[in-house]
Amino acid sequence: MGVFADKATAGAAGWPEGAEEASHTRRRRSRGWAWRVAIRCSTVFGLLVLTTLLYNVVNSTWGYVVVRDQLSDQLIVLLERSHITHAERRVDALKEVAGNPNAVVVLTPNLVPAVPDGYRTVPIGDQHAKLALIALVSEDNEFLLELDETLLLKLLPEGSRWSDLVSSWPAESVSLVLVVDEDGILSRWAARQDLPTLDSLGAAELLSVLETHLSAGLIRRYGRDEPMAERSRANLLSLVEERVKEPEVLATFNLRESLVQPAEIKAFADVEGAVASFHSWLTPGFLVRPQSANAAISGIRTALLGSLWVIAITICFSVPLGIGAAIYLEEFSTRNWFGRIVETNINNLAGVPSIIYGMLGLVIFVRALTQITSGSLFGTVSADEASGRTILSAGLTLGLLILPVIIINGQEAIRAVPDSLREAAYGVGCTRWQCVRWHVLPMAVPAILTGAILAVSRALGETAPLVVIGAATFISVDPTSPFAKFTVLPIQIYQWTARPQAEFRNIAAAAILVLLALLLVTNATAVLLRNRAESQRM
Amino acid sequence: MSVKPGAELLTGGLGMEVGVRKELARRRRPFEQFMHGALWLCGAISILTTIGIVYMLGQEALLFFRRPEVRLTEFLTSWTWQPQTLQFGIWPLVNATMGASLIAMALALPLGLLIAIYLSEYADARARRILKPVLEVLAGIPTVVYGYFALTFVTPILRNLFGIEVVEIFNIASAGLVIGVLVLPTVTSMSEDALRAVPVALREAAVGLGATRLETSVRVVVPAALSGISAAFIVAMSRAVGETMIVAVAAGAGPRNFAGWGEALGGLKALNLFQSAETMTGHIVRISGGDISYDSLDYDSLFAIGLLLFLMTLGLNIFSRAIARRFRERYD
Repeated sequence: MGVFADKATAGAAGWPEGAEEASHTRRRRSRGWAWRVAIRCSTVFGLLVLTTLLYNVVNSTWGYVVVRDQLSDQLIVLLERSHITHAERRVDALKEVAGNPNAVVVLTPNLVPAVPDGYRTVPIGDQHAKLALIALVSEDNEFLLELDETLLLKLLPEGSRWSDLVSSWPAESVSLVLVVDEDGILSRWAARQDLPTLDSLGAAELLSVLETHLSAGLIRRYGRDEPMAERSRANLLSLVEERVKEPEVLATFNLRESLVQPAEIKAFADVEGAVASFHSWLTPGFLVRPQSANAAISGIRTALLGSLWVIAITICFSVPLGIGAAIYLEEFSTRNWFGRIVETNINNLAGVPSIIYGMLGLVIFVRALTQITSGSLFGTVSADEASGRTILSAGLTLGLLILPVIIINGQEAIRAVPDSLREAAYGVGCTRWQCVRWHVLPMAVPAILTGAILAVSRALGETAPLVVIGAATFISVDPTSPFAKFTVLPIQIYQWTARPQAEFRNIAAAAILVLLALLLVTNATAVLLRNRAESQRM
Repeated sequence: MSVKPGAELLTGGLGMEVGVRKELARRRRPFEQFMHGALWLCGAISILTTIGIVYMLGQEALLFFRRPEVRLTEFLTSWTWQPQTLQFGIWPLVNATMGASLIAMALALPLGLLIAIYLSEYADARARRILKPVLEVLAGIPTVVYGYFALTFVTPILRNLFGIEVVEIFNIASAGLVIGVLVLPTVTSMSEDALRAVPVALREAAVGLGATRLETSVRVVVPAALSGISAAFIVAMSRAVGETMIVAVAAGAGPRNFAGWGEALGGLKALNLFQSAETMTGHIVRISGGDISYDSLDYDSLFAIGLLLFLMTLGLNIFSRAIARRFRERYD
């Protein structure tokens, strides 16, 4: 070999000697040392990647978020408990009060429009302070020039007539319009009042909040999903939080930034008129809330249920088939042509990219077998609405995908059963099946199951084939049958990662942690099973 | 089923009549036959899967090439993939796929081999006990998680290193590097198996002649295991070519087209790995993930890409097994 040839030519007359030999040896030693370091480093690289990957996910799952609500809790309650109307834009506000001498529009200084005819502005509070407001009042009511912070604060919750504020004022009823500002000053202003929290509102009040703030069309749409009157309080509350409160995430910070520079983050939030709070994107609520277009209140309930449904079908389909095929190949078809073809074929199938299985599933299960996979054959949906993009198609596709893996692992497990056992079984007159059923399988079952669980955990993380067969992009209804539309956890992660907004990266990270935990549990089961089987065999 | 010699001896020993033995052997056992048939069916399903794959890819791809808008020569030679303008040249997609795979292999090949050498030649039992599970965990992480990692961790690092103007947000290099990490466990475990299969006697002989541990590993053990190691690389390459989610997340959403061979290769523009480009798998996922109507040209074109992808990976896998068989050194 090369090394010895080097030595032979190293010295002119054969082997190096004396000082030459010493330096030659030194060189070889140092080369060996350098390479050893290189080899160690590349090994450390593997560890490093795993750590970085986990760090990266954890880093995004926790951290500060700066959130500004479109309407704060207090403002919502205030608007609900009083006679105030609120307008999203000042244009709406001006329309609301047009020609009404008893109207007051309250807005923040930066929003003051060109004052319309017949109106004038009244400053409320210290105009240089952060909480400054401007009131727009009619010129007809001279006395309104006296309007100040105390009077306004009184007016907000209960006052409905001018005379309630100051007895000398006329007994005309007031119509007050609040313009919701972008800086949240009004919200903080409302916060100075002693108002109940949003959580304490009853279902009826929540419903009325929704009816005030949402368009009739939107209410009708929600009503079609589930009648508004029948919805639970928690459901209404989450609707209010999503559609009325409309929390807008201004910025998110990862764990490292949150730990290193919390002061800067708080300062940033103050400037923006928002609230910075340390947020865990991974909460129990995250697991049980349905998907939502708003990252802050979105959850993975549908995806998690979808994953479980799909995996259940995959297991039912591929585990029995895979084990059967493994038994056939190892015990029945040894050395016949059919067995050899199947062997080669399975090895090739194991190397086919998963996305090709997705295309196979699309053609066979989604399109060719629509009648079965959509459930129209069983009368669950009518034939013209039938779509094969269901949990059943997904499960079967993943089943085909992991079948070769289960077969290969199963074969290995069966091969590990010593031949003496089979010979003994045949010796006492067992048929082939009896030998397999009563002697080979009991020995091989733990190993077979270990292999099967590992294969299933692969299916659990598989994304590409399910995107191809057409997972739904947005569903918020729990899957209830194999014929339901579906989304799964990995797809949810993919879709959230693909969004440009930073907060979706955060919930993608949280979902990744859930997925990894799920995989950890399945793999740990497999390892435990393997260890137990090994210790029993001893 | 013939009676095994052992069984014959045994029954003979019990003094059973020859007639009875023959009758036992010939007795019909319906359940036995049923189980045999059922298990045969299980095995046949895998054949059906293959037939299904080949048939559906071939059928739909044929539909695609039969269309009047599509020409096979254009498909195989053009550098523009633009379904809106009915231009279907496969090279932009293939170029991106090869770019990502080659980067992946440039990372996974040396690293994987070095780690395999470490595990098989240097590491003691304790180091192996720690390292093997780590590699198994790496192998078990879903690819979409790797995609997230590429986009949110590797890409920002690349952009910091080489400049924001040079490296686009979506780029082939970052996807390729992470695919390298993804196939690292494959390379390592297959190479390690090959290295460990080399008989200890060879190592002992080398050490006995005065070779250092490095010289033993690199000049004796690795050459002896070369067939297995090459097979590992090719399998890893095939996995890299077929990898989908990493490129779908991190490599970009749109093929990088060129006017022709001259533009693509002149100035090596096509080899710029810091730009976004779409691979074959990435294209399939993006198009089929949207609302696509069956029987459209887009839909059919996916199967043409799928067929090519299938042939590429199948070719690599068969090649790998052929190498492992053909060049295996036998030590008996």
